Amino acid sequence: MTDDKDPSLTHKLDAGFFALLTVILVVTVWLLALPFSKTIQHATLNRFHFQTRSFAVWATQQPIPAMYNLYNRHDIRPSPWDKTPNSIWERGTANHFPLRLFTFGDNRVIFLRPGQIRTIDIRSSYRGESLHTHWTATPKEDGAFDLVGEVVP
Amino acid sequence: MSGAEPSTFELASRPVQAYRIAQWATLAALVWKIGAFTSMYQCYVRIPLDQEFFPAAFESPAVLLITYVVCVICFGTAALTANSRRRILASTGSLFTLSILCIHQGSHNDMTFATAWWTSLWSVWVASRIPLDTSESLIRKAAFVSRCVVSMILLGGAVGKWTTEYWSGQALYEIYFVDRDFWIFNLLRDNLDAESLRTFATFYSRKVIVVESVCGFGLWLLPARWAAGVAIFVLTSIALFSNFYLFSVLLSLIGLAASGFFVIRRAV
Repeated sequence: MTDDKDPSLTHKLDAGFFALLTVILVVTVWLLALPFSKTIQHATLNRFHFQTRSFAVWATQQPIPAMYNLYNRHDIRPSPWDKTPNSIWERGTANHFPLRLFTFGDNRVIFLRPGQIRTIDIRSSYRGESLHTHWTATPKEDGAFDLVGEVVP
Repeated sequence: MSGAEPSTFELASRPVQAYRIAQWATLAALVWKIGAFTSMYQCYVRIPLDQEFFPAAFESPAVLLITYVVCVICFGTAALTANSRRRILASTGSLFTLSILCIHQGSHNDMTFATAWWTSLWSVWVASRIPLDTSESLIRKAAFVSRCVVSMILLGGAVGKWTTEYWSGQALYEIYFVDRDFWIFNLLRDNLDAESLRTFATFYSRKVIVVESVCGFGLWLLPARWAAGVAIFVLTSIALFSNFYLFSVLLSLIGLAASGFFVIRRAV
Protein backbone atom coordinates (compact mmCIF):
# COMPACT_ATOMS: atom_id res chain seq x y z
CA MET A 1 0.00 0.00 0.00
CA THR A 2 1.30 3.41 -0.90
CA ASP A 3 -1.40 5.55 0.69
CA ASP A 4 -4.09 5.29 3.33
CA LYS A 5 -7.01 3.71 1.39
CA ASP A 6 -8.91 0.82 2.97
CA PRO A 7 -7.35 -2.37 1.50
CA SER A 8 -10.71 -4.14 1.51
CA LEU A 9 -11.99 -1.51 -0.90
CA THR A 10 -8.92 -1.15 -3.11
CA HIS A 11 -8.82 -4.86 -3.84
CA LYS A 12 -12.46 -4.96 -4.90
CA LEU A 13 -12.94 -5.67 -8.58
CA ASP A 14 -12.99 -2.44 -10.56
CA ALA A 15 -15.97 -3.25 -12.81
CA GLY A 16 -15.91 0.23 -14.32
CA PHE A 17 -12.37 -0.30 -15.60
CA PHE A 18 -13.33 -3.50 -17.40
CA ALA A 19 -16.61 -2.02 -18.67
CA LEU A 20 -14.74 0.95 -20.13
CA LEU A 21 -12.17 -1.29 -21.82
CA THR A 22 -14.99 -3.44 -23.21
CA VAL A 23 -16.72 -0.41 -24.74
CA ILE A 24 -13.42 0.74 -26.29
CA LEU A 25 -12.78 -2.77 -27.61
CA VAL A 26 -16.25 -3.02 -29.18
CA VAL A 27 -15.85 0.35 -30.93
CA THR A 28 -12.34 -0.62 -32.08
CA VAL A 29 -13.60 -3.90 -33.57
CA TRP A 30 -16.38 -1.96 -35.34
CA LEU A 31 -13.81 0.48 -36.74
CA LEU A 32 -11.42 -2.25 -37.88
CA ALA A 33 -14.29 -4.08 -39.59
CA LEU A 34 -15.26 -0.97 -41.60
CA PRO A 35 -12.92 -1.64 -44.55
CA PHE A 36 -14.07 -5.27 -44.85
CA SER A 37 -17.75 -5.37 -43.85
CA LYS A 38 -20.37 -4.08 -46.29
CA THR A 39 -22.86 -4.02 -43.38
CA ILE A 40 -20.72 -1.61 -41.38
CA GLN A 41 -19.92 0.45 -44.46
CA HIS A 42 -23.64 0.88 -45.16
CA ALA A 43 -24.34 1.62 -41.48
CA THR A 44 -21.74 4.41 -41.64
CA LEU A 45 -23.02 5.77 -44.96
CA ASN A 46 -26.58 5.69 -43.58
CA ARG A 47 -25.40 7.40 -40.40
CA PHE A 48 -23.88 10.29 -42.37
CA HIS A 49 -27.06 10.63 -44.48
CA PHE A 50 -29.65 10.13 -41.70
CA GLN A 51 -30.95 6.97 -43.35
CA THR A 52 -30.45 4.79 -40.25
CA ARG A 53 -33.67 2.92 -39.48
CA SER A 54 -34.35 4.88 -36.29
CA PHE A 55 -33.09 7.90 -34.41
CA ALA A 56 -32.21 5.68 -31.42
CA VAL A 57 -29.99 3.39 -33.51
CA TRP A 58 -28.34 6.42 -35.11
CA ALA A 59 -27.78 8.00 -31.66
CA THR A 60 -25.96 4.92 -30.33
CA GLN A 61 -23.46 5.22 -33.20
CA GLN A 62 -22.63 8.86 -32.48
CA PRO A 63 -19.74 8.24 -30.04
CA ILE A 64 -17.97 6.20 -32.74
CA PRO A 65 -15.18 8.50 -33.98
CA ALA A 66 -15.73 9.56 -37.60
CA MET A 67 -13.46 12.56 -38.17
CA TYR A 68 -12.78 13.18 -41.85
CA ASN A 69 -14.35 9.85 -42.81
CA LEU A 70 -15.67 8.82 -46.25
CA TYR A 71 -15.46 10.91 -49.43
CA ASN A 72 -18.43 13.28 -49.22
CA ARG A 73 -19.34 15.42 -52.26
CA HIS A 74 -22.21 17.89 -52.42
CA ASP A 75 -24.02 20.04 -54.98
CA ILE A 76 -26.30 22.82 -53.77
CA ARG A 77 -28.91 24.15 -56.19
CA PRO A 78 -31.32 27.06 -55.87
CA SER A 79 -34.40 25.14 -56.97
CA PRO A 80 -35.49 21.50 -57.01
CA TRP A 81 -36.62 21.36 -60.61
CA ASP A 82 -33.50 22.72 -62.29
CA LYS A 83 -30.88 19.95 -62.44
CA THR A 84 -28.69 21.24 -65.25
CA PRO A 85 -24.97 21.51 -64.44
CA ASN A 86 -25.07 25.31 -64.79
CA SER A 87 -27.63 25.58 -62.01
CA ILE A 88 -25.18 24.35 -59.35
CA TRP A 89 -24.69 27.13 -56.84
CA GLU A 90 -22.11 25.51 -54.63
CA ARG A 91 -20.12 22.33 -55.20
CA GLY A 92 -17.62 20.93 -52.76
CA THR A 93 -16.31 18.24 -50.46
CA ALA A 94 -17.22 17.91 -46.78
CA ASN A 95 -15.09 16.28 -44.11
CA HIS A 96 -17.96 14.39 -42.46
CA PHE A 97 -21.76 14.58 -42.01
CA PRO A 98 -22.21 16.44 -45.32
CA LEU A 99 -25.78 17.59 -44.61
CA ARG A 100 -24.18 20.03 -42.17
CA LEU A 101 -24.03 22.35 -45.21
CA PHE A 102 -27.72 22.99 -44.46
CA THR A 103 -27.97 22.20 -40.76
CA PHE A 104 -24.85 23.55 -39.04
CA GLY A 105 -24.21 27.07 -37.76
CA ASP A 106 -23.72 29.95 -40.20
CA ASN A 107 -24.36 27.63 -43.16
CA ARG A 108 -28.09 28.04 -42.58
CA VAL A 109 -27.81 31.78 -43.19
CA ILE A 110 -25.46 31.32 -46.15
CA PHE A 111 -27.45 28.68 -48.00
CA LEU A 112 -31.05 29.00 -46.81
CA ARG A 113 -32.70 32.24 -47.89
CA PRO A 114 -36.19 33.32 -46.76
CA GLY A 115 -38.88 32.27 -49.21
CA GLN A 116 -36.52 30.33 -51.49
CA ILE A 117 -36.33 26.59 -52.04
CA ARG A 118 -32.88 25.04 -51.86
CA THR A 119 -31.73 21.53 -52.68
CA ILE A 120 -28.57 19.64 -51.88
CA ASP A 121 -27.35 16.42 -53.47
CA ILE A 122 -24.94 14.45 -51.31
CA ARG A 123 -22.82 11.54 -52.49
CA SER A 124 -20.67 9.65 -49.99
CA SER A 125 -18.44 6.75 -50.92
CA TYR A 126 -16.14 4.30 -49.19
CA ARG A 127 -14.17 1.54 -50.89
CA GLY A 128 -16.68 0.93 -53.68
CA GLU A 129 -19.83 1.42 -51.61
CA SER A 130 -21.75 4.66 -51.98
CA LEU A 131 -24.91 6.48 -51.01
CA HIS A 132 -26.58 9.36 -52.86
CA THR A 133 -29.32 11.38 -51.16
CA HIS A 134 -31.25 14.39 -52.39
CA TRP A 135 -32.54 16.94 -49.85
CA THR A 136 -35.00 19.78 -50.31
CA ALA A 137 -35.32 22.70 -47.90
CA THR A 138 -38.73 24.29 -48.35
CA PRO A 139 -39.49 27.60 -46.60
CA LYS A 140 -42.51 27.86 -44.33
CA GLU A 141 -44.44 30.97 -43.36
CA ASP A 142 -42.82 31.32 -39.93
CA GLY A 143 -39.27 31.58 -41.32
CA ALA A 144 -38.52 27.93 -40.67
CA PHE A 145 -37.68 25.35 -43.33
CA ASP A 146 -38.88 21.80 -43.89
CA LEU A 147 -35.90 19.61 -44.68
CA VAL A 148 -36.86 16.42 -46.49
CA GLY A 149 -34.47 13.87 -47.92
CA GLU A 150 -34.73 10.85 -50.22
CA VAL A 151 -32.32 8.22 -51.38
CA VAL A 152 -31.44 8.50 -55.06
CA PRO A 153 -31.15 5.01 -56.58
CA MET B 1 13.21 10.42 -9.34
CA SER B 2 13.41 6.74 -10.32
CA GLY B 3 15.15 5.63 -7.14
CA ALA B 4 13.42 7.87 -4.60
CA GLU B 5 10.09 6.98 -2.97
CA PRO B 6 7.45 9.60 -3.78
CA SER B 7 5.76 11.20 -0.79
CA THR B 8 2.27 10.11 0.28
CA PHE B 9 0.96 13.56 -0.67
CA GLU B 10 2.47 13.25 -4.13
CA LEU B 11 0.86 9.85 -4.69
CA ALA B 12 -2.50 10.77 -3.23
CA SER B 13 -2.93 13.80 -5.45
CA ARG B 14 -1.91 12.28 -8.77
CA PRO B 15 -5.28 10.87 -9.96
CA VAL B 16 -6.99 14.06 -8.79
CA GLN B 17 -4.44 16.19 -10.67
CA ALA B 18 -4.84 14.11 -13.83
CA TYR B 19 -8.62 14.29 -13.50
CA ARG B 20 -8.53 18.06 -13.02
CA ILE B 21 -6.30 18.63 -16.04
CA ALA B 22 -8.75 16.64 -18.19
CA GLN B 23 -11.63 18.81 -16.88
CA TRP B 24 -9.81 22.09 -17.50
CA ALA B 25 -8.73 20.99 -20.96
CA THR B 26 -12.26 19.95 -21.91
CA LEU B 27 -13.64 23.17 -20.49
CA ALA B 28 -11.15 25.06 -22.67
CA ALA B 29 -12.26 22.95 -25.66
CA LEU B 30 -15.90 23.84 -25.04
CA VAL B 31 -15.27 27.57 -24.74
CA TRP B 32 -12.67 27.66 -27.56
CA LYS B 33 -15.47 28.28 -30.06
CA ILE B 34 -17.73 30.32 -27.80
CA GLY B 35 -18.00 33.04 -30.46
CA ALA B 36 -18.90 30.51 -33.14
CA PHE B 37 -21.32 28.82 -30.77
CA THR B 38 -23.10 32.11 -30.01
CA SER B 39 -23.41 32.89 -33.70
CA MET B 40 -24.58 29.31 -34.33
CA TYR B 41 -27.33 29.66 -31.73
CA GLN B 42 -28.54 32.92 -33.30
CA CYS B 43 -28.71 31.21 -36.71
CA TYR B 44 -30.78 28.36 -35.28
CA VAL B 45 -33.25 30.78 -33.67
CA ARG B 46 -33.51 32.73 -36.93
CA ILE B 47 -33.83 29.71 -39.25
CA PRO B 48 -35.31 26.65 -37.53
CA LEU B 49 -35.15 23.41 -39.55
CA ASP B 50 -37.86 20.77 -39.32
CA GLN B 51 -36.29 17.42 -40.15
CA GLU B 52 -38.45 14.39 -39.54
CA PHE B 53 -35.49 12.26 -38.44
CA PHE B 54 -34.92 14.28 -35.23
CA PRO B 55 -37.35 14.40 -32.30
CA ALA B 56 -38.49 18.01 -31.75
CA ALA B 57 -36.39 18.45 -28.58
CA PHE B 58 -33.24 17.61 -30.53
CA GLU B 59 -33.97 20.37 -33.05
CA SER B 60 -34.67 23.03 -30.41
CA PRO B 61 -32.14 25.91 -30.11
CA ALA B 62 -33.20 26.40 -26.48
CA VAL B 63 -32.35 22.78 -25.62
CA LEU B 64 -28.98 23.21 -27.33
CA LEU B 65 -28.15 26.41 -25.43
CA ILE B 66 -29.26 25.14 -22.01
CA THR B 67 -27.43 21.84 -22.49
CA TYR B 68 -24.24 23.60 -23.53
CA VAL B 69 -24.34 25.99 -20.55
CA VAL B 70 -25.03 23.15 -18.08
CA CYS B 71 -22.22 21.14 -19.64
CA VAL B 72 -19.75 24.02 -19.16
CA ILE B 73 -20.92 24.45 -15.54
CA CYS B 74 -20.44 20.71 -14.92
CA PHE B 75 -16.87 20.74 -16.24
CA GLY B 76 -16.11 23.91 -14.23
CA THR B 77 -17.48 22.31 -11.06
CA ALA B 78 -15.59 19.07 -11.69
CA ALA B 79 -12.35 21.00 -12.18
CA LEU B 80 -12.72 23.04 -9.00
CA THR B 81 -14.40 20.85 -6.41
CA ALA B 82 -12.51 18.89 -3.77
CA ASN B 83 -15.62 16.98 -2.76
CA SER B 84 -15.69 13.44 -4.08
CA ARG B 85 -19.47 13.13 -4.37
CA ARG B 86 -19.73 16.50 -6.15
CA ARG B 87 -16.96 15.39 -8.52
CA ILE B 88 -18.90 12.25 -9.51
CA LEU B 89 -22.12 14.23 -9.90
CA ALA B 90 -20.45 16.88 -12.06
CA SER B 91 -18.83 14.30 -14.35
CA THR B 92 -22.11 12.41 -14.68
CA GLY B 93 -23.74 15.73 -15.61
CA SER B 94 -21.03 16.34 -18.22
CA LEU B 95 -21.56 12.90 -19.72
CA PHE B 96 -25.33 13.35 -19.84
CA THR B 97 -25.22 16.80 -21.44
CA LEU B 98 -22.55 15.75 -23.95
CA SER B 99 -24.72 12.77 -24.91
CA ILE B 100 -27.43 15.26 -25.86
CA LEU B 101 -25.00 17.51 -27.76
CA CYS B 102 -23.73 14.49 -29.74
CA ILE B 103 -27.22 13.78 -31.09
CA HIS B 104 -28.72 17.28 -31.44
CA GLN B 105 -29.43 18.46 -34.99
CA GLY B 106 -27.37 21.61 -34.44
CA SER B 107 -24.27 20.00 -32.94
CA HIS B 108 -24.14 16.31 -33.93
CA ASN B 109 -21.51 16.90 -36.62
CA ASP B 110 -19.15 18.88 -34.36
CA MET B 111 -16.53 16.39 -33.18
CA THR B 112 -15.79 18.66 -30.20
CA PHE B 113 -18.66 16.96 -28.43
CA ALA B 114 -17.71 13.41 -29.46
CA THR B 115 -14.15 13.69 -28.11
CA ALA B 116 -15.39 15.46 -24.98
CA TRP B 117 -17.93 12.63 -24.54
CA TRP B 118 -15.12 10.06 -24.32
CA THR B 119 -13.21 12.27 -21.89
CA SER B 120 -16.29 12.62 -19.70
CA LEU B 121 -16.87 8.85 -19.76
CA TRP B 122 -13.29 8.39 -18.50
CA SER B 123 -13.90 11.15 -15.94
CA VAL B 124 -17.01 9.49 -14.47
CA TRP B 125 -15.04 6.30 -13.91
CA VAL B 126 -11.95 8.05 -12.47
CA ALA B 127 -14.10 10.22 -10.18
CA SER B 128 -15.90 7.14 -8.89
CA ARG B 129 -12.59 5.35 -8.14
CA ILE B 130 -10.71 8.22 -6.47
CA PRO B 131 -12.25 7.44 -3.04
CA LEU B 132 -11.65 3.70 -3.48
CA ASP B 133 -8.33 2.97 -5.21
CA THR B 134 -4.78 3.58 -4.15
CA SER B 135 -3.39 6.53 -6.10
CA GLU B 136 -0.64 4.52 -7.75
CA SER B 137 -3.01 1.81 -8.92
CA LEU B 138 -5.66 4.28 -10.14
CA ILE B 139 -3.29 6.52 -12.05
CA ARG B 140 -1.83 3.49 -13.88
CA LYS B 141 -5.28 2.28 -14.88
CA ALA B 142 -6.46 5.81 -15.75
CA ALA B 143 -3.43 6.43 -17.97
CA PHE B 144 -3.92 3.07 -19.70
CA VAL B 145 -7.59 3.78 -20.42
CA SER B 146 -6.73 7.29 -21.61
CA ARG B 147 -4.23 6.03 -24.19
CA CYS B 148 -6.70 3.36 -25.32
CA VAL B 149 -9.29 6.11 -25.91
CA VAL B 150 -6.84 8.33 -27.81
CA SER B 151 -5.66 5.34 -29.90
CA MET B 152 -9.25 4.40 -30.73
CA ILE B 153 -10.17 7.95 -31.77
CA LEU B 154 -7.10 8.28 -34.01
CA LEU B 155 -7.88 4.86 -35.47
CA GLY B 156 -11.40 6.11 -36.20
CA GLY B 157 -9.91 8.96 -38.18
CA ALA B 158 -7.58 6.58 -40.02
CA VAL B 159 -9.98 3.81 -41.11
CA GLY B 160 -12.42 6.31 -42.61
CA LYS B 161 -9.57 7.52 -44.82
CA TRP B 162 -8.39 4.11 -46.01
CA THR B 163 -9.80 4.90 -49.44
CA THR B 164 -8.36 5.73 -52.84
CA GLU B 165 -9.74 9.28 -52.61
CA TYR B 166 -7.78 10.04 -49.44
CA TRP B 167 -4.65 8.03 -50.40
CA SER B 168 -4.47 9.94 -53.71
CA GLY B 169 -4.86 13.20 -51.79
CA GLN B 170 -7.97 14.21 -53.78
CA ALA B 171 -10.32 14.44 -50.77
CA LEU B 172 -8.06 16.61 -48.61
CA TYR B 173 -7.03 18.62 -51.70
CA GLU B 174 -10.68 19.59 -52.19
CA ILE B 175 -11.30 20.19 -48.47
CA TYR B 176 -8.15 22.15 -47.62
CA PHE B 177 -5.91 23.03 -50.54
CA VAL B 178 -8.34 24.61 -53.03
CA ASP B 179 -9.51 27.58 -50.98
CA ARG B 180 -9.19 27.03 -47.19
CA ASP B 181 -8.05 30.30 -45.57
CA PHE B 182 -5.42 28.94 -43.16
CA TRP B 183 -1.75 29.86 -42.86
CA ILE B 184 -0.20 26.69 -44.27
CA PHE B 185 -2.59 26.37 -47.22
CA ASN B 186 -2.27 30.10 -48.02
CA LEU B 187 1.52 29.74 -47.88
CA LEU B 188 1.49 26.72 -50.18
CA ARG B 189 -0.88 28.36 -52.68
CA ASP B 190 1.34 31.46 -52.76
CA ASN B 191 4.51 29.48 -53.42
CA LEU B 192 3.54 26.44 -55.50
CA ASP B 193 2.08 26.09 -58.98
CA ALA B 194 -1.13 24.08 -59.41
CA GLU B 195 0.62 20.80 -60.19
CA SER B 196 3.03 21.03 -57.25
CA LEU B 197 0.17 21.99 -54.93
CA ARG B 198 -1.76 18.88 -55.98
CA THR B 199 1.36 16.73 -55.46
CA PHE B 200 1.88 18.23 -52.00
CA ALA B 201 -1.76 17.43 -51.17
CA THR B 202 -1.01 13.75 -51.86
CA PHE B 203 2.02 13.86 -49.54
CA TYR B 204 0.00 15.69 -46.86
CA SER B 205 -2.92 13.26 -47.05
CA ARG B 206 -0.69 10.16 -46.90
CA LYS B 207 1.17 11.63 -43.94
CA VAL B 208 -2.15 12.11 -42.11
CA ILE B 209 -3.26 8.54 -42.86
CA VAL B 210 0.08 7.02 -41.79
CA VAL B 211 0.33 9.06 -38.56
CA GLU B 212 -3.27 8.32 -37.54
CA SER B 213 -2.90 4.62 -38.39
CA VAL B 214 0.42 4.17 -36.58
CA CYS B 215 -0.84 6.02 -33.48
CA GLY B 216 -4.17 4.18 -33.63
CA PHE B 217 -2.46 0.81 -33.60
CA GLY B 218 0.53 1.62 -31.42
CA LEU B 219 -0.08 4.43 -28.97
CA TRP B 220 -1.81 2.28 -26.37
CA LEU B 221 1.19 -0.08 -26.32
CA LEU B 222 3.69 2.62 -25.36
CA PRO B 223 4.82 3.29 -21.77
CA ALA B 224 2.54 5.84 -20.10
CA ARG B 225 4.80 8.89 -20.29
CA TRP B 226 5.93 8.18 -23.85
CA ALA B 227 2.31 7.69 -24.91
CA ALA B 228 1.34 10.99 -23.28
CA GLY B 229 4.17 12.88 -24.98
CA VAL B 230 3.57 11.36 -28.42
CA ALA B 231 -0.21 11.85 -28.21
CA ILE B 232 0.05 15.49 -27.18
CA PHE B 233 2.62 16.16 -29.93
CA VAL B 234 0.49 14.48 -32.62
CA LEU B 235 -2.81 16.04 -31.50
CA THR B 236 -1.27 19.52 -31.28
CA SER B 237 0.36 19.18 -34.69
CA ILE B 238 -2.98 18.15 -36.26
CA ALA B 239 -4.51 21.48 -35.19
CA LEU B 240 -1.42 23.58 -36.00
CA PHE B 241 -1.24 22.21 -39.56
CA SER B 242 -4.95 21.86 -40.38
CA ASN B 243 -7.19 24.31 -38.58
CA PHE B 244 -6.90 26.15 -35.24
CA TYR B 245 -10.60 25.46 -34.63
CA LEU B 246 -9.61 21.80 -34.30
CA PHE B 247 -8.21 22.66 -30.87
CA SER B 248 -11.83 22.53 -29.72
CA VAL B 249 -11.92 18.90 -30.84
CA LEU B 250 -8.45 17.99 -29.61
CA LEU B 251 -7.99 19.85 -26.31
CA SER B 252 -10.09 17.36 -24.37
CA LEU B 253 -7.96 14.52 -25.77
CA ILE B 254 -4.78 16.43 -24.95
CA GLY B 255 -6.00 16.78 -21.35
CA LEU B 256 -6.90 13.10 -21.29
CA ALA B 257 -3.52 12.04 -22.68
CA ALA B 258 -1.72 14.16 -20.07
CA SER B 259 -2.76 11.66 -17.40
CA GLY B 260 0.18 9.53 -18.58
CA PHE B 261 2.61 12.07 -17.12
CA PHE B 262 1.28 11.35 -13.62
CA VAL B 263 2.19 7.66 -13.64
CA ILE B 264 4.98 6.90 -11.15
CA ARG B 265 8.13 5.62 -12.80
CA ARG B 266 9.00 2.20 -11.45
CA ALA B 267 12.34 2.03 -9.64
CA VAL B 268 14.96 0.15 -11.69
